[in-house]
Amino acid sequence: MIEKVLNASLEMFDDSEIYHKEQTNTSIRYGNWDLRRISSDRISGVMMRVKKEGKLGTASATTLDDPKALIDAARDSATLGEEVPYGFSTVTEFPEVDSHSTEIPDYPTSKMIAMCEEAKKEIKQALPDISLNVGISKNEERLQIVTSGGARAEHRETGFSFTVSAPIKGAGTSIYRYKEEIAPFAYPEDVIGEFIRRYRWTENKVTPATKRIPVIWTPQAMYMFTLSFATGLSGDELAKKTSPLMDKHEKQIFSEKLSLIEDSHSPRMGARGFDDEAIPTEKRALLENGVLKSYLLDLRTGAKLGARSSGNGFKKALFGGGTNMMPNPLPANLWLEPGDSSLNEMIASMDEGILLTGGMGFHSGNYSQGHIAVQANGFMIQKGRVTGRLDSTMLSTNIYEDFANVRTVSKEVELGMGGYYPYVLVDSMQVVGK
Amino acid sequence: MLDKLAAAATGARADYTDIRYEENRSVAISYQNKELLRFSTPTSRGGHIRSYTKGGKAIHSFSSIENLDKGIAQCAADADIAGTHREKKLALANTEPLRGQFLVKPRKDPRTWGLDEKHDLLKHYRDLLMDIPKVMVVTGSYTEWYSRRWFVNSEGAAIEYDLLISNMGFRITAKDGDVVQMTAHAIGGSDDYSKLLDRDEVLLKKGRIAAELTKAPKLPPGNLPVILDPSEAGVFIHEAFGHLSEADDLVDNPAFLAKLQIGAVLGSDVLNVTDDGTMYGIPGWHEVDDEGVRTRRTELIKNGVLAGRMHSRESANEFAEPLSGNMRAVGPRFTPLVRMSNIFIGEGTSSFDDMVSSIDNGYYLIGSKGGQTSGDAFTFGAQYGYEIKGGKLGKLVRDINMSGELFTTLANISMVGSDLEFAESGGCGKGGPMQLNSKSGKGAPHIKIDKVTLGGAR
Repeated sequence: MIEKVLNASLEMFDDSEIYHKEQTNTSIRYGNWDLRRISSDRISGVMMRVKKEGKLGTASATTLDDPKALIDAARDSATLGEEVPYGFSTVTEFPEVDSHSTEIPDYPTSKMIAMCEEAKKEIKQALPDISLNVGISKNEERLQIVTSGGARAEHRETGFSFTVSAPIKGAGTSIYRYKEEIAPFAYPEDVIGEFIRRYRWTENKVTPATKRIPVIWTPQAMYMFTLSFATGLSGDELAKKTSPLMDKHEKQIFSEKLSLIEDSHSPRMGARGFDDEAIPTEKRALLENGVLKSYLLDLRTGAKLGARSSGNGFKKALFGGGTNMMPNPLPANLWLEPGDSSLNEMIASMDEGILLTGGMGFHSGNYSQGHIAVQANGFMIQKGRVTGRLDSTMLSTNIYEDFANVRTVSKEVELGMGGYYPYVLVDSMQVVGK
Repeated sequence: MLDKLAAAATGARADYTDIRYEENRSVAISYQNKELLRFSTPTSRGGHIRSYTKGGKAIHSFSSIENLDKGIAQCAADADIAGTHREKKLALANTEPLRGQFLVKPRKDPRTWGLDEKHDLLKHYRDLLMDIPKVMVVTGSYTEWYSRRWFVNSEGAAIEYDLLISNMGFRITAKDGDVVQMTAHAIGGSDDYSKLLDRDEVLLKKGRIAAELTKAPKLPPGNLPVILDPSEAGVFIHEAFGHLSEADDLVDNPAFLAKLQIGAVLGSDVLNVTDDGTMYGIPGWHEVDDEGVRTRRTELIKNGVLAGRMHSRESANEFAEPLSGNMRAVGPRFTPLVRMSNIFIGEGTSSFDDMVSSIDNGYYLIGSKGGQTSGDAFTFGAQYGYEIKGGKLGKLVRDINMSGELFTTLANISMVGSDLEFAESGGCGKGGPMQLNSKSGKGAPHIKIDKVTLGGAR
């Protein structure tokens, strides 16, 4: 069907690209120990980009069923559009990635429910008085991008995820633990064990004094660092000349303990052989021992800066994404190189500090400039042990100043937003508490 | 369409089934300086099914109407499984099955303006802002969204309704040396296109502030009294309190619900908060929600005391409280959630000058910059602010984020102004997957909070 739409478009346009995604999903959610609902989806989306006399036009719809409506809308858009200095992908070969499990489609709902029930039973014994939420889901996705220049990109992926969470008594925030892999996994004892350990840490609440103290960034909090940094690397910010990383290529910008690579080719969640413009993804360093090595470009920003796309055009934004979005320059699957310390050793090494599990209000700060001011979620560490959950605590940092001094990086690596990260102990950051 | 959906709903093997089908058309034009990023008229269609059986619930989304029957069967089977495992059985509060049409009657219908006229208006405002010294980047967008919907349920409801909103939003980035600052402003926010016309002055003011901020000092951290302008106070009440008035966020959190019993004292008697979906011209206006319930006005806080909350049929039954017509979904793939329509702090009697003169050392915070809540904890930014020293407004400050705990902060609202104002831009994110709802309004007069945590600068 997608070829039929492409062929029809060739009569009207000089260059065409069709993006088509189909998804199925089944998920089960428990709230306060009880099965709240079973959800399923069978959804699709289409976006067409065209060029006519050099002008860009776009159109989007839910299915490929009505090629004429799609082509007419793209034509109207191109009539009022403006000339763009780039064409769509002509790449015909892409790296092969392993991101699909054949076990997912037939994995039964009954086994998903059984895993949730087992988790309930184990946690009930350890923490009978909490309000437990459990979620489990499986999904399958097929993405096709075809262009009139000859690109025929197809990607299939699956995912299986499990989440446990519970609101902290006397606070609004929750403790949660999460696991997601390409194929179904067995009962996640490690997730449950760490959830119970962390929930027990919430019995006391602590507000630190207002001063600079060491902070361990958990993999789940690291998105604030990587999103802030990636915004600075974005071709958009470079073209606008508002990036704090202008002219910093090959310069030392962070601690030498930090090496961040884009790795979409290893068989992990988020693996992709091409971006949302059918440009191959690359395995490459963004940071090597704290030195800036690469920027993020898509077709549009590459053309503006006189460079080729680096395979970083993705239909995502800070909140969500979607088929009918225009691509933006964003990092592909990130991997922050682990160190040789353990989380427990890090905690034991600190006289006073914070274990940061998340922050509220990231998006309302000036993060494109590296500035982060958030209400800190996490735990207080005093004399080498966790003494309680943080209460009424703000964290205020500029990553380009504070991440220059990293004490240690953990050997444990966990899935966070946009990639896989270790725990990172930063020497000192400003907290606002008492 | 209604007949086809009604036949499917009544034929479903479930105790209760409803179906919502949508056909949506948008206009999206966006610029970054002189570069046209997007000029498009996206369409989408699809449906969403909800079934309840033996007190269990299942939902299903589909894109192609050809998959309706498969979806109905899947949803019924899943509801049956859910009912087998659900211990505390779910049920829906009773409501009269609505029938008929509920269609918008715009004052100045944006759909009757040409695409070229919308394009030219956007470029006009962009050019105005780009001419301001120090302004480096202007991102501007025109968005128009029309959603035609059909809803049926197995109780006999069958309605056709629609939603329409248009707005323009601008982000203005100024740079001086290494200092980069941004302000933002949105206009429109209703089905009345005339609200987008002749708005040069308000946008120019925001652009000039962005330029001035590059010379302003950072706000230092501390715990101090603040005055919030109507925009910032509207975000505060939406983020910090509004989400906790959405009953679907409370049903599975009994410890928190215990703090939010009707009759609980949350603030002083100057504080009144209402949600009202019936206010035409404010972004969250709508006639019926996405489970076939008429919208209405709900008093949430009356003279400082918790008086009501927003509900779905399921949560209204669970709480034994009145329906409110707040269940809404932003598109065909999404299940409806309890969403604020137009939430606002009611007018008080204080003047702005009285508030300023009551503060010896604090800040006046202006312009919302987004926010986030988790339970009773909240954080949100302000675009800019002014120091208050010795009861007088002082210098401009930048990089402002404030945070706090809801109950303490509500109790610390000591003065409420008499100058209620609604934001023209809607917007609220909730759920997983995230549903960004532009038809969500917020408003407030100026308010004074005796103490908040400010964490703007290092």
